[in-house]
Amino acid sequence: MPTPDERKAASAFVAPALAVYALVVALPIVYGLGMSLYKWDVLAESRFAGLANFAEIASDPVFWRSLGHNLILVFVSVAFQLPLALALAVILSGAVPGRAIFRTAYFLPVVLPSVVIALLWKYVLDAPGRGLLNGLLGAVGLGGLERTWLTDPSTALGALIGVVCWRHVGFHLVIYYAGIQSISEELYEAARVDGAGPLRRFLHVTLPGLERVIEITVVLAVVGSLKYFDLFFLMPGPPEHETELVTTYLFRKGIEDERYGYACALAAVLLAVSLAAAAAVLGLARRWRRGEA
Amino acid sequence: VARRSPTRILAKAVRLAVLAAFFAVAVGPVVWMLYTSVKSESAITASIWSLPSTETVTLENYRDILSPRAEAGLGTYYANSLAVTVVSVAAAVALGAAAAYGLARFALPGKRWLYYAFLIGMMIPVHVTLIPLLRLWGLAGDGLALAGARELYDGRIALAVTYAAFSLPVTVFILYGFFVNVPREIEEAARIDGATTWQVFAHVMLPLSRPALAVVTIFAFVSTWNEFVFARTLANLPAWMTLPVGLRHLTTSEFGDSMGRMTAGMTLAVAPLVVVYVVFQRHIVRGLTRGAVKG
Repeated sequence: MPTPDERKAASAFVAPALAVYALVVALPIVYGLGMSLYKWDVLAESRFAGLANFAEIASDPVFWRSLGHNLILVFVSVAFQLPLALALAVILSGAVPGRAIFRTAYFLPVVLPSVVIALLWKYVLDAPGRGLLNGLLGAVGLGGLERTWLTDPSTALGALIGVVCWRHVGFHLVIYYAGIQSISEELYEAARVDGAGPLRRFLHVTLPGLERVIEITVVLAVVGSLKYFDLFFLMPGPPEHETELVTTYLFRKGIEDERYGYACALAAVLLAVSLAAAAAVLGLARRWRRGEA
Repeated sequence: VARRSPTRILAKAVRLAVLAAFFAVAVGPVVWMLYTSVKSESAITASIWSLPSTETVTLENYRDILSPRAEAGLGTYYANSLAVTVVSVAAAVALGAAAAYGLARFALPGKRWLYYAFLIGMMIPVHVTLIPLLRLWGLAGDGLALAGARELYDGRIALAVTYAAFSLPVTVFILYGFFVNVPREIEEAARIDGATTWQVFAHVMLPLSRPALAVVTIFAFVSTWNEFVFARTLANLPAWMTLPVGLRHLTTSEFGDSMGRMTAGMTLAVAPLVVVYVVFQRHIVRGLTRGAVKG
């Protein structure tokens, strides 16, 4: 049992942080969940509406379209961005000169503010005659491909996802790189003695050694893609919700249209989806590990 | 073990080529931003790809973007970013360190539950709190107005408090992991010498924890300095804008269409960040990825 003195000391240390956290994070979440049950727009008096906002979300085509874009982002992040990061991390872990310089460079986009990245890539992907990419395509004789990448509905989503991956691939790469460094060199030696080539060493030493790290990066990539906001909001897009995400839709409804109740209901759905997805990935990983053992 | 067969040399060359290609993709846009910021408007119009020649290199973009204007400019955004970041990071690290110490060292009913309450803050999408926080800070402003002190309400203070709270989960998580691994004997020696609990924390534990404190400080600094959507929502007046919101605001100014002026502004906005990053990159990389690798 804790002594009264101990309890007093512990409370004094924990209470200030807990108070700030409760007021700025916990209280708004609870308040927002409550508000999601109200019809509350900027001009009208707010009134209790039960689950009406959620019923409206269920039949809102823009919401489903936005969630679909989030799921595409989840898929691309897990199926392409993470494997690319892992491949680069493995190559970087081999005997190559200038490892520190490469690592510093790869991580640079992770550190830059989203606003600067959005402005930079707008210049890259801008209209024919302006954008850097179009200039490059013209110079190598592919002028037929030139277009305004970010507002052309057929390329907008792909271009944005590409920039998001550019921004985050270095983060996962560095995590994998650190994970590989912590795998014992003796395991690789033993595999070499057994005559395992680079592919077998990767499959039987590197991958098992990174199991935990991969699990965590998948959770981060899935949750990160579901709650993604910055570049999709900051970069120009086509006018018909072609690049809408749940969070950007929430922002438009809540801040621009001032439909607070509806935006809070969207936030409640987002919270539920994110937590469920994180739990699902962790549960799958646990089952997979058990099946392996 | 190095055998120098032709296939090995070829494999090494391929690996280097892949790494170099990705290097160019990662830093290319930033390099372009740097050299475009010192090109004249006519040189940019002539070719957006070309490097500036010694005759056309100019600092006029920097002079223009920094020139005093009717509305708040880059200088104001800088000052706001610095103030908000310093205050919120200092608060988050101080409060987070105390809380992590309390949770790591003392028996407290329900402390496991408290620890998880902080941890779950790393999983929830912060956007969920956007509308409620806008409303709650609005109520705080209304309260001040009722008390006849409307002018005391400042979006930058609301922002600093909000950022401090957002930085708490990671700070508590990393410092808790550090504190529980420090042997208790060190503190007990100080206690026998008559030190109070607070003195043990401030004069024994904190100095020992400098590497972990550096990691959480850097983590909070980078995420706070770069944050956009809460700054856009809670501090959207020109006088209150931080750099991310201000830079975006500049795109609607008379400089918005000028690639030279905008890249100069962007360069100034990221310069301290990039310098800090290159100098402390080992700590920053460790800081931003620590939680994931340790987990």
